[in-house]
Amino acid sequence: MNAIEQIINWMPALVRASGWTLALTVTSVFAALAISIFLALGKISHKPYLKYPSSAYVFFFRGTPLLMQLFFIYYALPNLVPAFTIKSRFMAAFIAFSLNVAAYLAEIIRAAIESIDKGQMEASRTLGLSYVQAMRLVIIPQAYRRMIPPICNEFIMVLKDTSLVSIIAVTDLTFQTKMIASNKASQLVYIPSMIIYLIMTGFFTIIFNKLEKKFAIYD
Amino acid sequence: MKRKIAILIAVLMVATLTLASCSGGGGGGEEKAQITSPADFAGRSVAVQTATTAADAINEMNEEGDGSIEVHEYEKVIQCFDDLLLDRVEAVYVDNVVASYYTRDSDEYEVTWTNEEGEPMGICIAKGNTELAAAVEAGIDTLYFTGEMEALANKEFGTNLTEGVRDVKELPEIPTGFATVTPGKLTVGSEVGYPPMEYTTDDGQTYIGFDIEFAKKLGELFGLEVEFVNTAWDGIFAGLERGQYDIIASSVSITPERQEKYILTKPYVSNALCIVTKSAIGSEA
Repeated sequence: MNAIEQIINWMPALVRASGWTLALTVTSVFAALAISIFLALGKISHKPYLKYPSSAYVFFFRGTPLLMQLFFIYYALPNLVPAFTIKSRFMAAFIAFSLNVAAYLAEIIRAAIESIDKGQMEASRTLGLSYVQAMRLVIIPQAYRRMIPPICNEFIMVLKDTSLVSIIAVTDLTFQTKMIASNKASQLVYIPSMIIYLIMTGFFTIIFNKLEKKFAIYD
Repeated sequence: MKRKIAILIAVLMVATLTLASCSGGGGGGEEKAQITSPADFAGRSVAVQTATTAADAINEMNEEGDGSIEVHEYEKVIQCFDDLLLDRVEAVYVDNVVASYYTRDSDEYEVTWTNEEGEPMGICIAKGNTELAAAVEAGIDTLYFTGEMEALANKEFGTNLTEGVRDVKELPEIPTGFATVTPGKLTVGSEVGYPPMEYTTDDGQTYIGFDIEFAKKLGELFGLEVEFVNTAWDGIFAGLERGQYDIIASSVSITPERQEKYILTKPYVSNALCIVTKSAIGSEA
């Protein structure tokens, strides 16, 4: 009984903290989506000035640990270039996550576009569409559906990876959980926290499943 | 419809980010008076290490007051000082042993207030392990008697922080017959990263510092080999409960809450909370 009372007492703080987890996940995934579309098209492009910078970007952000990127943006960068001092911890986390997630999403989008049969592009060009028109009207709409499951996967990964930001003191769910665990010296708090993570990931899994069904009509 | 959703998302994102950058802003803006006591904390941003007595004190102030102190809680104490240098916080609330280390060789920091009420440190032992506690207590007394503690303090702090902590008139006898986690070894838990108490050489390979040297001397007295376990501070007491190490020698301030859950020796080195800010000279330069 006592344990349940304790958990109820922690709930407001945990729920408030999961608000930051959600806010960080959603904002950074959408920002990353915007960046990644350009990166993916850049990687597909045959023009070297688009292809190589995009590839280098993906190579860098996919090839170094997210935690280190977070530390780099929060601590190292301001020491190297004082003009890049980011005051807000949330903003620093948002930037690190957007840049990192964009690299992964770019690969997902590239793979989805490249999985569309070559004949589609050839047929569109034969019908007189330009490269951009063919991409926008024919290829990308077909690629949508193939993107959704891996993007859902990535989204859920990001939601859990946001626990890393507790290390720069963003008061997310993990930070709050560790605070309660160390201040009140009760390890029980991990249980409600994990359940909250499960509820959040479960919610987004359902949303993505719905989206997938909706886009299935194009197939 | 799609365009509306896109606009909605964009607006929400901008709103969240603006909110976040305002709430996390701190520092900056108009010139404010120097923080010279905990009473000045209200409405200001302060960095502390998580699960320390400083963190407990400041969170308590927030709970009892109007909650306007913007607290940045970090796992490592160096993160607090990094934030101070980068103007993300206006003050660091920390043990003065650490403050003295950072201010000794640098004019960028300044200690503006030190608590008159001391908060001396003790060695922490698991509840019920009274044999080992008695041995550690006698070991500290021995090191005080021989003057080794004083020499160590002078070397690490530049001042004698052991002065008046213990008054040992005669050489005590160290009891034997206590058990350790690993037989033949004294296993010591420490959060290495808290200079000058426990930190590493520049290459990060060798542990050095006051507690490290102290624990080695204690091991010599016991005739045991000393092994250090580097642990995160916020899990250090849990590790002791799980029996990962025999003692914690890691700048543990003696508090009633801790005394309730663990055995703490009598003080072995003095300490007090203090406030560190960026020095006026340092920020102009």
